[in-house]
Amino acid sequence: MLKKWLHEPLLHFLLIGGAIFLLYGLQKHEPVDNSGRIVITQAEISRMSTLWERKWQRPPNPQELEGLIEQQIREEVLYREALAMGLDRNDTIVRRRLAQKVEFISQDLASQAEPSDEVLNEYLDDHPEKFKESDYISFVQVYLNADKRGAEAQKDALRLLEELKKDHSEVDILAAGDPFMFGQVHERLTEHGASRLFGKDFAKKLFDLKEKGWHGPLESGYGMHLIRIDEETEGRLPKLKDIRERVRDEWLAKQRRIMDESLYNELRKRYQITVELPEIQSKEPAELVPPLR
Amino acid sequence: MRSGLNFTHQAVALIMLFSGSAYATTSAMFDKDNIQPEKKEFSPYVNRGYPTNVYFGDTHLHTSLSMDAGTFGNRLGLDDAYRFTRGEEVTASKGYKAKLGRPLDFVVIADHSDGMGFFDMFATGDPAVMDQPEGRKWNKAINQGGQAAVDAALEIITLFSQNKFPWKTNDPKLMKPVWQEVIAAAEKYNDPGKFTALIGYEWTSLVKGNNLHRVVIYRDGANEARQTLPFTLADSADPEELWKAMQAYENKTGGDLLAIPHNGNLSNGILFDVETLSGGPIDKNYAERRQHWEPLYEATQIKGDGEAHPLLSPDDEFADYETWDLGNLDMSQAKTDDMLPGEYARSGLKRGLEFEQKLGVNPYKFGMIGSTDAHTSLPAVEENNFFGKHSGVEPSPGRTKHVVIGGEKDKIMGYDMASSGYAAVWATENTREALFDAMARRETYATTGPRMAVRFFGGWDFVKEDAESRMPAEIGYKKGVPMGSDLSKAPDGKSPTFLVAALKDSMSGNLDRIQIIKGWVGKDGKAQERVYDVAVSDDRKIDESGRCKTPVGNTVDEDKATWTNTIGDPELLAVWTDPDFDPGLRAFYYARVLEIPTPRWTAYEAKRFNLKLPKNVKMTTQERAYTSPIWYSPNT
Repeated sequence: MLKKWLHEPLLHFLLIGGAIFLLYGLQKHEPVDNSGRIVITQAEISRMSTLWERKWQRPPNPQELEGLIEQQIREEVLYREALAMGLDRNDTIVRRRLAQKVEFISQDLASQAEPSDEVLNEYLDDHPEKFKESDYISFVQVYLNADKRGAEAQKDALRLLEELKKDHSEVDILAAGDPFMFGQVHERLTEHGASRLFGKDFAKKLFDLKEKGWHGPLESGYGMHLIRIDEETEGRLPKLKDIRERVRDEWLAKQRRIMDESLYNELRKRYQITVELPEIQSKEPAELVPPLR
Repeated sequence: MRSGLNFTHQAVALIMLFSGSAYATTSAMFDKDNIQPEKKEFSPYVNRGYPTNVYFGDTHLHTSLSMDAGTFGNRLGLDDAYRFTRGEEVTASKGYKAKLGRPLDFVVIADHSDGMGFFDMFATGDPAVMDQPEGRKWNKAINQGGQAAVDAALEIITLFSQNKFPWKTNDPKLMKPVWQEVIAAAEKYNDPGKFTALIGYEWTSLVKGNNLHRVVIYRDGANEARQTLPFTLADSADPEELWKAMQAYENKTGGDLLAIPHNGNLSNGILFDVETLSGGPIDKNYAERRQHWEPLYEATQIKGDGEAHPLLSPDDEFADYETWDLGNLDMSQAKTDDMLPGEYARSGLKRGLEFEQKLGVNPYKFGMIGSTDAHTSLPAVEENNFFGKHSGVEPSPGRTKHVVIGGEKDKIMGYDMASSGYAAVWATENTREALFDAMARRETYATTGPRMAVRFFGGWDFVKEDAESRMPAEIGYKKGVPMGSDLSKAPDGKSPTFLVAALKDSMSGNLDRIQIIKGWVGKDGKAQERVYDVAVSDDRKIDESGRCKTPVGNTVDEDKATWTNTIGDPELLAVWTDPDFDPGLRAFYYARVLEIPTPRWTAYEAKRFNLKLPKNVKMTTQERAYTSPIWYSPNT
């Protein structure tokens, strides 16, 4: 019970909210320096060197260090100019990136929570459609070569189907109809496997059939098929231990989405929002423009 | 690389196969005694050791990691390439959404080893290349886009081909991280039983502009592949050096490799040459090594079809198919007729027989596959879904008129591209090991795009009734050997018999005919060839000379880019006996399956973009498949 509560998004949000306020409070709030002075501190230089060394397994040489410092200065100059120009307020891309950054922070915090097997199992049980293996069918098919039989093919198929459906049918299935290179007995084919052999449309029609026994004729690019469904097996839901990483990835993705939503909703509550819709002047009904995808 | 017939020692319970369980036998040949068609088991498909599934894939795909792909505008990396190949939708580099009509079963992403990953490094300004002025210049130009990017691309290609490139393209420091990335992606997308990602790369041997490229394919996974780096042109342009490196890899890791050459038609005669690259004679040792390391040839791809040439095969009315015969890979040298025999699969196979006669070993004993060599990260070669050779010729109203390879005089135009091909592999399951082993034993065939199913068996005892069998494969493996195999020492008085069966691609055209092409060495030591029709559609007749002169017809409406399957047959089967057999002469036989005419990609293009293409542009195609040969020798 406590464990479940610990995973409650609201609790996470309260903790995050608290963390954000704390961090904010701890920041040194220097107003934007209008004096024109840019200082690259020793701490910053040392940080740049460390990052470089981590990547290139060696400290930067004097030219490379100069390049890094120049890059930092450049960034600071342009940043201050941008703020002075008010670019942060009016530029769409900047706004979007800043908004994303807040979401990233919340997501980072969300991904700190390492889910237990219990949590994942619950998720797996709640979302079988995401993890279920494909259904499969075992069937026998009798093929009629429509090309050879021409106009008679449909009639032949229906007549043969009648014979096959009889209770004590004497039809030798393996000798019935016409030869088909992929054979007549197909065991445990998924829809993908069936579409590889017979084509997508046929596979779809096959998997729409529900009952055991004879069906048909079903058409494929090859001709007509009479199908006897022997076994229909629903794809099984794998055990957590076999697909743990996939389930974890999906669960984390879901947590991130929840975080984003709950954080956003809470933040939004702080604002009074007014939307000034234009008055609709024309008397004709507005045409619905489908959204661009 | 394993030689001979070799099957994995795994008992695998398969869910995906249409025939229930398939146990791989541990002996070198299929356990023929276990096949009992008379047994009253309902499922006749139990206890079989032979391949019952054919898998379709591309063994030659390039992503933006290939320097030339990047320079031509490819911005799709490994992830997009794998996702597209297994059936998902991606956005192509030039903006169109793209999706395959059907997923492929396997792929080898074979980026050029020379300069692998360089283009991405230029584009992102990776410090590894920003230490040189060219790197900084190209980084700026590529990110500028437009003409600047095009100029940068041209400069990169020019400097590389003139050997003036500012970096060593085989610098291990630069290659290693990229190679690890390639391996990691293959491991990520490899899904045994469902979709196979084989590790590989392309060795880009170019000799004075003549193409000697090979795709190298690994049977192994990350543990072995990461232990060495790919072999490059900077290391050597000589295939004998490549084979040495492949042997060194196998010695070090215990792994398995094979190499597949392609585009003999751009080698100006030297792919199936009469001497080695270094100018020495082809001796027994060379022949053994070439046969061992190169069991397959990529006979059809976007840069032309390489099965046969009309000048070499004047009696073969189907020989002139997507023929590129103007020059070599960079058009630095025009083609002359005397080069042709060293360029095409059929003539290469014939030369192989001649060498076998002289040396006792056949250097050109290769099976056949097709692939795309697409540099767009998209192996899209369905006629109505053709995304082109590289990103400069992705779908657009003007792409048919772009020059693909150009000199001042001779040019290969956009409309000359072939929307071809795929590799078809008969394997026991869709895994790296099973597919690799099938390629090693040559149980494969090439298709120009459609996924027809083709079986081809050779033996001494096939009879007409076998062609009417419900399970031709069972009889084939029981009484004979499959494509890629050998027959020898004809029993007294007998001629070889062949069982061949083809089932159309359910989404493509019906079948016109199945042919068997025979090559043999005459008593004078010179190789000859002959084409026989063995199964034809619509009850047409094959005459006494073994040909059916009645064409199948043509239902193509070029303007609408449509056709109807009212001609041709969906399935053809036959048993054929060689009427001109001489047991003392060595020979090869391979099957060629032809579809009825269907619209070529240019017809779909003209309709989509409302184009009027020049009169010389073909709008109709007859798609085909070429099986690996079955070889006959008078002694073992």
